[in-house]
Amino acid sequence: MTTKAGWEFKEGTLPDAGAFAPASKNSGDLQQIAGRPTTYWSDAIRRVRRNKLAVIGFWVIVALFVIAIVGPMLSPYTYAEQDLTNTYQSPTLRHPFGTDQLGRDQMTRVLYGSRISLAVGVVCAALNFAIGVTYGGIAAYFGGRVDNIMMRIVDILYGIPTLIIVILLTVLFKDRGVNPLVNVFIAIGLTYWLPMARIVRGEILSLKEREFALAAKTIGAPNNRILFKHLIPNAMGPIIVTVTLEVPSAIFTEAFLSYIGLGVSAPVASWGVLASDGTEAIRSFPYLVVFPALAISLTMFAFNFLGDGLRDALDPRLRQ
Amino acid sequence: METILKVEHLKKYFSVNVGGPFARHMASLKAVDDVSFEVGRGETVGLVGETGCGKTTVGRTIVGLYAPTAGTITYCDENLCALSREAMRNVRTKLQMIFQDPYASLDPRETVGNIIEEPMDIFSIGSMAERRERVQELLRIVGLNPEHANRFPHEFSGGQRQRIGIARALAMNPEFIVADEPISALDVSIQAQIVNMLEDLQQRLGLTYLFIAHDLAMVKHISDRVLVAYLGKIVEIDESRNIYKHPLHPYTKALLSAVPIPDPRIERRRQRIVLKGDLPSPINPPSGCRFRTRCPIAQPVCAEQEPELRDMGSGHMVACHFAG
Repeated sequence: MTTKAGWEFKEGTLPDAGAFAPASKNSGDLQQIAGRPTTYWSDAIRRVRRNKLAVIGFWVIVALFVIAIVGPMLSPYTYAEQDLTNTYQSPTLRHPFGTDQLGRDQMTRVLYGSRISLAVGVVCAALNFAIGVTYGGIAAYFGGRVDNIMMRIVDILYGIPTLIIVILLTVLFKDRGVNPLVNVFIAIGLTYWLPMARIVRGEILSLKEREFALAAKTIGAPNNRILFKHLIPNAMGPIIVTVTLEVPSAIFTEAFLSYIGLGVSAPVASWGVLASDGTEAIRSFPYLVVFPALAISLTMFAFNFLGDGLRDALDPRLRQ
Repeated sequence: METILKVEHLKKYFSVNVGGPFARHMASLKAVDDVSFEVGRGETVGLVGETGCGKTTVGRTIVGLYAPTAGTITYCDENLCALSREAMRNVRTKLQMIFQDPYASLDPRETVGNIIEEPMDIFSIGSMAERRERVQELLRIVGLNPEHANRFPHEFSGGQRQRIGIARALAMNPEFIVADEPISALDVSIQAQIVNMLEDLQQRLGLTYLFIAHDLAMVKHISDRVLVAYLGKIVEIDESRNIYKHPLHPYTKALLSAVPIPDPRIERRRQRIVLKGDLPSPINPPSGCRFRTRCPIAQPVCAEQEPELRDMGSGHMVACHFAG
């Protein structure tokens, strides 16, 4: 644009300042941005990388996924293969985690258990995105009565303990040939999107009053475009953090439900079932409970460290 | 001059809960209460007033961000309040807005190119290549380097971001732009650049502005006419040449006496009119004339009768019983 006199320095009006002489104005120079383009995510990744625990957590999770997929395939045993001549073996080279009361290889069972745990985690994350984010986003965006009704439903569901839902489902599906794992998935599906819906609602409530949301409205953007293209992407930080903190909690719930006998049942092995079986012989054969318990703890730590690291990296108030 | 926008008896009330956290008692906050004015094509109308007088609400209601409680907004002989949703969306492209805070008005996750392109994308105008071309052109119009289309807003300074906001507003070739305090978040030197650019664009593109501000000196510079608002009402309308010399309403006089003059000798000698008290609550405004609680010349009649806007000659309107 053309500049008008009156606000810009005129050459010669400043005292001769030697090294401090004003640089000549070159409109090209004024408009240059020197740095490479940075996006929100490249910036966030840079900050997560500085957090060692989060990086370790990330790689442990990657390793868990690889082991869960590849591990059972490489094992010479299957999770249900019994060898009654070799019960309660201590860890040896042939059975690194030992064998259980039916002579099944404990390592194969732990590896197989990781599949169930990670499946629970993936289902939980998917439901968080599919239901929690959309539900919370719609409630907040439309506000008023819609918000009131939708969030009261969330409050009611919040009030029902997961345990009761699972017990009810178990009773309901008993003797109908439904895989007990489905009970666990449904229970987790019914309860684990609730915190996400609340967090997303809170974020969207504040974001929708920001001027860029109003600006999108003035240029004629329809509601779903404003919600899904402008508001939710801007709430992605808290959403990702919530998912990484929800997933371990869901995995733990499955382990806990299996431990008390409401989850998957024999011969399928999940970490909770293994720990439960192991506790029966904890005095004589502690390794039967130690390895599944270690697997559960390691997964919990990995997800929680990564979640904490992401929260620190994505929270704009903590930006460095 | 052809009238492009006509606002008649516009009211916008927000319902607020005044009963505290446990009791539910709804009251209406009268942000805009019976406001009427006209804007001619190619004109710049300034809307001034202190914080909370409803000037932003007027602007947002005009561009359709708020639905008016009562009254009509007529744009080019079309009543915006009676239009269907679809028709309203199309008219909106001609009515655009520039926002106050250049740091909040651009989506931080989108590139500048996408931000400017978005209105064309929504209305499916042109091919992808044509839209990209137009983005480059718009960036050039607002004095930015077209190479920066793939940069993100946080990489720009406040003034540059405001230019991006202006480019987005221009994307659909609007006729009328509501500028909601477009310069109050910027440095003084940048303010001058943006205002000069707005004037330049007005001449080149034949735009009409409703310029909302509280900086009276800037409004005087850019506006043809000035509307003075107080607590949801318009108290005085006049050409900006005249209103700064001969304000009639006591509120306008007080406002103008608060404008700093860049000359210490004059500044030392002149008298400020200091208004007593705070702005009354728009939930429960004073009876009669709303300004009477702070007015230096208030009389008993002011509490009983609400002054209408009356013409004091050559379009100079004022809402005061004792103006003159």
